Amino acid sequence: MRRVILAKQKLNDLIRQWVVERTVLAPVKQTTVDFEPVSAANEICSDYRNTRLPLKRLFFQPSEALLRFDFKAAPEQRVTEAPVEARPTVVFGIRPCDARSLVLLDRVFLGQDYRDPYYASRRDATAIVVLGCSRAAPTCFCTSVGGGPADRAGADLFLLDRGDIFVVDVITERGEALMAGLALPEADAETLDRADRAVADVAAAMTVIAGVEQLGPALKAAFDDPRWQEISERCLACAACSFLCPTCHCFDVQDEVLDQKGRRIRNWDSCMFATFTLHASGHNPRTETMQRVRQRVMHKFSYYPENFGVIACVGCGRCIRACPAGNDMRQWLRTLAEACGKESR
Amino acid sequence: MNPLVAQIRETARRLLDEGRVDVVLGFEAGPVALRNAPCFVRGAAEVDRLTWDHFCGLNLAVFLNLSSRRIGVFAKGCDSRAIVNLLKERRLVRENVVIVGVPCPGMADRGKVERWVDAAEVESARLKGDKIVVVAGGKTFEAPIEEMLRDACRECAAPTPTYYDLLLDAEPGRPPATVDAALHARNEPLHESLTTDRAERWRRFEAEAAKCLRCYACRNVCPLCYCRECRADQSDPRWIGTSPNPSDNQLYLLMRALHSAGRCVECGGCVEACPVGVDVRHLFKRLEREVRERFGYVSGADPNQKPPLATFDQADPEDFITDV
Repeated sequence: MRRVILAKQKLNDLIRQWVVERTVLAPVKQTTVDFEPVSAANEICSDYRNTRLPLKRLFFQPSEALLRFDFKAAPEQRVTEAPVEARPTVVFGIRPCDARSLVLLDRVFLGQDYRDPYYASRRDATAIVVLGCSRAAPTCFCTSVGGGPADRAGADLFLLDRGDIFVVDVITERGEALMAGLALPEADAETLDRADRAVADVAAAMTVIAGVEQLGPALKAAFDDPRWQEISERCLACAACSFLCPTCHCFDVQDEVLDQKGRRIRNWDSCMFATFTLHASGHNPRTETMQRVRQRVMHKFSYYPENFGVIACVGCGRCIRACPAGNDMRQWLRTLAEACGKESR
Repeated sequence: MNPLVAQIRETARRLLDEGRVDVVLGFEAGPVALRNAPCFVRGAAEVDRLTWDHFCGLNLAVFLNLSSRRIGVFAKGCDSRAIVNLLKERRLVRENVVIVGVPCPGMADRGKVERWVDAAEVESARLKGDKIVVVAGGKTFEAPIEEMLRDACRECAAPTPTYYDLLLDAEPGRPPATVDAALHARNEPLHESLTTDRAERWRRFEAEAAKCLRCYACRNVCPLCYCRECRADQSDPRWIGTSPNPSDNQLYLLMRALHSAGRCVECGGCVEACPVGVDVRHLFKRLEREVRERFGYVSGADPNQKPPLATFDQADPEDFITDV
C-alpha cells in the first residue's frame, strides 16, 4: 500500500477525471448533508460529520423490482428478471463507519451460498473513497464496536484531511485505478506520523462502552433478564432506527399484480414492525415491543457475531439521533453489559 | 432552571408517596440535544430525573393507550387534548390516569434549528432567558426561542391544558385557560391551501410524499394512531402498497390524514419524529380547520363534545354532496 499526498486544489482534477466515465457521489449540503452526484470538487461539502442517510440505499435499494411477470406472454417470456443497471460509480467522502457497514452487508448479500445479483452488480461497479474523521459527533461510538475514525475496512482509497492536503492511502487495485494518470508524491514520514497521531487522538477522545465486544454469548444467557423490558419501555416500534441504520438489511418481498401482469418487489422491512413476524396462520411470536427490541439488539450484538465473527453495528449513532422517543443504543448496551456482568469499569 | 421543574418533581414525589399512581411519566434529559426523552419514574428517589423546558415535545399520551398501570402524566395542552380523545374512544380507564397539567411554553422544532445552523452537527442547545443558544459545527448560534418553535406550537389554541386533575402554575393567580378556537384561527397563518393554486398544492404534496421512507415513525409517535392492525399494514386486502414509491406514499399520507380528521390534536409530533423531514402535518392541519369550521369542534377540547365524524346530527351541513 502506498501513501501519497494530494493537494486539495488538485482534488478537482481527480473528480473531473472520474466523472468522465463514472458517476461520482459525494456529500452535498442542501437542507441536510447527503450523498448526491457531483461533477466538481467545489460542490462537495467540506465540513460535515456524517450524512443524514447511510449509503446502503445505493446497493440495497429501499424498493426495487426483482422480477416482472406477464402470464399473457409466450411461455419463455412469462417471467423476466428486472435488469440491473450498474454504472461505474465512485463514492467520495464516506466515513469509516459507513464503509465498514458495506463490508458487513457483503457478508449477507455476497455470501458463500448465495450472491445477490442486484446488490452484487452495483457493489462491483462502485469504488469507495473513505474520508477519515477529524472529529467525532456527540452520538458516535465506533470505537466501542470494533471500528474507529481511521478504520480502513471497505476502502479502496483512504483519506486523512490535513488542512490544505489529503494523505491518501491507495489500498486496493481499484484504488490504484482511480489514481491512474495522476503522479502524486509519496508522503514523507513526518507528515504521516502527524496525520496518524491526529486521528488516533480523535479515537482516544471517544468514550468507550465497556464490554460490548464480549456481549454475544452473554446476551443469550440473559435472554429473560427483566432489563430488556426496562430498555424497551419507551420504544414506539417504528423503523426510524432500522431505516437509518447502515447495517440493517431486512427486507420484505411483495407481489404487485394487475390482471395478468405484475412485479415482484423487494422493499426495506424492519424487525421493529409489529407485523414483521406475523405468520400466515395468524400466530406472531413477537407481539410485544420488548421481544422485538431484544431481537434487534441480539441480531446485531449476538447472532450476527456468532455467524460472521463481527458485530453488526458500526457505531454511527444515527439510531440515537433518529429515535423520536429518546432511545439510546449506548445506554442499552451499558444496561445489558451490566445485566450480563460484563461491565469492567 | 424553569420554576415548573421544582413543581413537577414535588408533584411526582407526592403522587408516588401517596400511592395514587404506580408510575409517573414526564421528561428527562435526552441523549441528543433539542430532544428530551420520556421518563418513567417509579420511586420518589428518581424524581430528580424529571425536567421541563422547550425540548419536551413528544406527546406523552402515546404511552397511555390501553395501559393497565395507574399512571400520572405531566401533560401539555396537546397531551391533555390527546387524552380527552383517547377517553372518548375508550382507550383509557379514567381512574387509572392522573393528569397533571403543565403550562406549555412551546416546543422546539429540531428541523428548524438544523436549517438555521445550516446543517452543521448540533452539539448542544440550551436556553438563556428567552433565547436559544446552540453550538453546532464548533460555532455558537443565538436566536429568540420563538423563532425555533414548532409551527404547531405557534398556532396552538391552548398550550395550557383545560382538562386535568391537577394544574401546575407557571404564574400563581392566573385565570384558568380555555380553548379559544378563535385564538387558533388568529395564530394560524392563512392556510396555504386557501392561497395557492391547485397545481402548486399538488406539487407541494408530491414533494413531501416523495421523501417518505415508510418507517411509520409519524404513525407510531401519534397517540391517536393505535389500531391493532393499521390499514397501511393490512395485507388482505392490500389497501395500499408497502413500497416507498411516490404513489403509495401519497396514499399513506392521505389515508392517515383522513383517519385522523377531527382527532388530530396538532401537537406536531409527527413532523418532529420524521427522520427525513416530511411535513406530515400539512394535510392534517387543513382537515382540522375544516372540522372546526364545519362542526364547531376543536379536537380534544371538551370531553363532553361528541366527535363529529362519529355522530350524526340533523343540523350537519350538507352543502357538498348535492345542490338541494
